[in-house]
Amino acid sequence: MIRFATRLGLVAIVCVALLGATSTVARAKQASCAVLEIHASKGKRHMAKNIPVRLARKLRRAPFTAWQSFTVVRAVSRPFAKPGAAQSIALERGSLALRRFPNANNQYKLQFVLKNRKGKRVLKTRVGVSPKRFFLVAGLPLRRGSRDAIQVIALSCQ
Amino acid sequence: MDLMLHFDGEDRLDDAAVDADKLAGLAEVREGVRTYVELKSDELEPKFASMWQRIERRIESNGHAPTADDATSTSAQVARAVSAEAQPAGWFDRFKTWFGDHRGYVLTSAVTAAAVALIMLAVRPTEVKPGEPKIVRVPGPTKIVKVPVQKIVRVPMHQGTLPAAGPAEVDSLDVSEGTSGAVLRIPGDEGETTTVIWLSPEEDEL
Repeated sequence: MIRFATRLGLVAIVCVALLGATSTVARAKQASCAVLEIHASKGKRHMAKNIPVRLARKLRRAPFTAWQSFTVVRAVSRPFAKPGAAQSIALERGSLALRRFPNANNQYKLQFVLKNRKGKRVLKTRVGVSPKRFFLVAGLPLRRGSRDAIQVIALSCQ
Repeated sequence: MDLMLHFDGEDRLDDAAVDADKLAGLAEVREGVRTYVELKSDELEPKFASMWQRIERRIESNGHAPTADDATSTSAQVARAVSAEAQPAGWFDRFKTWFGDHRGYVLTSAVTAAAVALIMLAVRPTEVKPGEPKIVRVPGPTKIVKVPVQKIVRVPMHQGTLPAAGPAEVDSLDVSEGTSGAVLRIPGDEGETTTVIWLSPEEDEL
């Protein structure tokens, strides 16, 4: 009886170890990126509560000091299971296409293609994004001939 | 009583005082008792004999139950012992005898030593210390070159989640006609830096 219990215990330990290893591997292969579309405008000082603190600190520094109000108009999170995965994200103003490449230098390598609301490609870049760090694309005005309001796109992957 | 003593030969009575009939009666009783005891003794003799045999065997076998071959094996052991005493054995025979007697201890010790050796081999440090010379074998004509070993840092190739690292790196930047782009770095409070691509369209419209 004791021998049976010992064997049972060993089998249980092995099973738990296998499960842990499997879940760790599965988790390691998962990566996801969050995109925040923020509209920055001049006027009353305002920082939306759903903007992460670390990002808010950046938005209070130059070159964003010319704008005082920051509002999140779209927040999207998409998984990128493996290299080659692509995601298209519709924005309030335009659209964004992301494609993941093999990691390098401990960074997620992504192709970042931004189109304006007319569908014209404005930016195509390939960046290495460190996990849990923000990468920003900003400066596009929301209204013709006016710099009072701009679009800020924040990307963070983990 | 005097007559009985006279009958046993322990006392001597006068012939006049001896009653011949009583003496004959005593002789008859003695014969009857002797016959009865002899008969009983003959009857019990095989029982007692087997009992003594059992007791002797138990004493010889130190309490173990005897087997049928006990007599044979005991005599063989005695013969071996006698011959061993008669002819002094060589060192190999003595070693064999000793090994036979201590086989369990020797085998246990050997297995334990092997296990310890395996563990030591498994956990021995394999990393070469920086600065120590290392022999490198080059294919082709045999030549031994001593090369100082530098510290080797193994960086895993992650394809999944990654540890925290520096700011985003822009590998390529392609902006549309009529738009200018610039890569900025915003320093943070904790020393970290954030990368920003700043777009400035000439049309001033998104």
